[in-house]
Amino acid sequence: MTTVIAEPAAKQPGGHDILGKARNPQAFRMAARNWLEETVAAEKRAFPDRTADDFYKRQQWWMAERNKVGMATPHWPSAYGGADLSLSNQVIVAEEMARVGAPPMSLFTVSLNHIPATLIRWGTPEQKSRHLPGVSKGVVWCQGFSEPNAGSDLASLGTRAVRDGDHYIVNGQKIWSSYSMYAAHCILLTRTDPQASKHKGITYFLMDMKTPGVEVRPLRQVNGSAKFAEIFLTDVRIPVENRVGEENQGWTVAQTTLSAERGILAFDAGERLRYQMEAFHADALRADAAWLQDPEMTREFARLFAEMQGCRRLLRRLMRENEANAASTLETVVYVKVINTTLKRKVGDFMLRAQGLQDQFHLHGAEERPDQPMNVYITSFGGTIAGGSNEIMLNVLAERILGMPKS
Amino acid sequence: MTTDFDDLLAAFSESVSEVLRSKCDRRTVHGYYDGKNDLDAALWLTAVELGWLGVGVDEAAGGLGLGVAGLDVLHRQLGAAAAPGPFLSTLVGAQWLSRQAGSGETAAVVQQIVAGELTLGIPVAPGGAATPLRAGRLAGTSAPLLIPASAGMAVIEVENEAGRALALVAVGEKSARLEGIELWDRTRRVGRLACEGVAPLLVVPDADGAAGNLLRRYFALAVAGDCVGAARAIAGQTVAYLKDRQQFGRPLASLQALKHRVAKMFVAIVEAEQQLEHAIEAASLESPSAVLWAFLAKASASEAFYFVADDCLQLHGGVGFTWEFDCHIFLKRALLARELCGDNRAMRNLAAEALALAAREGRSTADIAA
Repeated sequence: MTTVIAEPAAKQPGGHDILGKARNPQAFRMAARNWLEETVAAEKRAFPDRTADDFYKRQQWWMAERNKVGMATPHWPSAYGGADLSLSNQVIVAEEMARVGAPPMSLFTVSLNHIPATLIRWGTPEQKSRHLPGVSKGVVWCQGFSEPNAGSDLASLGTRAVRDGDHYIVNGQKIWSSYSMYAAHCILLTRTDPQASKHKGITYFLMDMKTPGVEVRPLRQVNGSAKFAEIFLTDVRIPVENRVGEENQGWTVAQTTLSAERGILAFDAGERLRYQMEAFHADALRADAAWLQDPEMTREFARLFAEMQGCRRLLRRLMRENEANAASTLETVVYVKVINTTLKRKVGDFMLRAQGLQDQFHLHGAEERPDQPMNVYITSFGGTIAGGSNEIMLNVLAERILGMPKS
Repeated sequence: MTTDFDDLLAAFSESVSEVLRSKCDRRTVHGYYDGKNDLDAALWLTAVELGWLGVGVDEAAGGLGLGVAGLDVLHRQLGAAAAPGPFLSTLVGAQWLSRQAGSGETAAVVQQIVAGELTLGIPVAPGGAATPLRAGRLAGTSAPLLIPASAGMAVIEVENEAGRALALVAVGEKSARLEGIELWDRTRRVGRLACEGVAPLLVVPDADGAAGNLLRRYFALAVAGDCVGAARAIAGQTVAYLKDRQQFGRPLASLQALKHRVAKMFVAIVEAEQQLEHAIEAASLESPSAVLWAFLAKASASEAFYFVADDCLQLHGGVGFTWEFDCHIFLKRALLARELCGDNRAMRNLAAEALALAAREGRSTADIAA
């Protein structure tokens, strides 16, 4: 049984009734498009510079705008404040957001996807009612999974949690935690039983980032932007009621968290790449760019365009299979991970070669502009390394899909 | 696309696969390679009896009504079996002919094909040299055709006063003699037609390139299907071999370096399959971008097949280098496939032109229906 914790849906100002048209795909699409075009234009007026300094404000502004028309968490179940938006309508929203170049969900990635996936499946009624409504109000969550010595081999993580009465005392270090410098809460994996085999001694917590002993040190990425951080944990006291699932069952809970990445989240990136490539091509044609005269380059663009299209189909397949809990989902996850992330690298590299020297000039604030070819290229390593590096994915493909024996 | 339709396709695919496993097993293919059997004719007969040739034809006209997607299933299975026979050229030619409206004669030709009474040749690489057509008669030797020895007719590219055209010609000992060319890939047949004053049965003007593009669209999809089916088959066989083959006291399949090579083959196959599925969808919907996607799918599929077949031979080690193993049969099919329908540079040049044209007109080519 689910607990109804939703507040009544806010009336929609500005004449944008999007969710009310959910039964008619074409009307729904046009309503979403009108709202998005208007709101993206407003965003550009409100934040003309797009600097690192106003990143947090821009993201919160965008979330507030989404909230006004019920588009903050429409994909959630209505019992938890969502609108039960069908998968096909979620696809429409993602397509339209990509089309107008709406701000990506970056700061809210964990809040919007990983938190509902985890809490709806494993959370206590108190955890759900305490945390889910906050997401649409802009509460930022981060993920404390990876450690310096537990990257691709996540299950070997060593951050210790020791039970002390009605608390756990946590010591250790987390790393690569995106937007954790902005986060109010963290989903945290710890080791509670060092004697058990590595998957069986892990426990999952919800941690308040303001707890004494939590220290966040931002790390700069290759493009110069600091969007992830290390989290140092020294004698951090987490109440027992913030544990998700049973003690030592955290690995199972974490699998649910990670499955959130198989839905609309991955799809969104594929859609954005489509419009980036189309815009790049259209701009080149308008400017009569030199690379258009080089048949090797135009053939390469055509090849990449086909790969992009194939990848978008694969992402659609993944979403359908994920929704249906299909047995083939793992296989598709692996292919999507490798193909999608590698493609972004190839497209970025192509754009850099096509533009030549001019794209070696670092324009002010370039690291905040995801469509800059250097950003497309150099941030693509985030994709090929994170979430199980592509080398690990090839092992998974060979061993679990093709049945080749372990080394 | 409905689930019922997908179920029908899957059932058709399984039944073709089962028949090919028994009639076109690897040993029989090797026998055909060495000229010891008539597998091409036997398979054709089987296909006629089982109604495979009508897979794309509407049910009302006596076919199976599975359209472009049904033909794709058939080509994938034929590719997986490295099947010889007049399938590619005859089925592509029939699809194209069935779209040439206004002639009862063409309809009769298509019926003859579906009934198994006629096989066809088509240009190996459409867009090449055209045979002169003067005062309604052809004189000269055609460009290379993908054409079975049994072919009763061929579609060839011709040129008259009005420009380029496609002509349907009856093959005959005197006026349109078939001169075979031996290929490294012995599962396929190529030849030229030496025409001495023959009058075509049909001439389809192609000054604007539309008729030729339609032929190439069908051809590209057929080759792409054949390639992804074949790539999956030889890659799967290679995985099985690596699991079986022991060196240094363990199966080769346990070596990570080899696992990664094999995994990358499957990644390439999946990419090509997705692009082909998109091209099939575009063709089924008669999208204005259908030709563009067919060409890109063909280029990707034949390159993926080559990438896979090349490394499969290496991964088989010494035995892969022998005539007795299957690797060379697939590799040679892959090498020929890169040239079929036009080489991949030509395919992508045409696609790049179409992309630029669409972008200039403000049309997106990237919408997905499903």
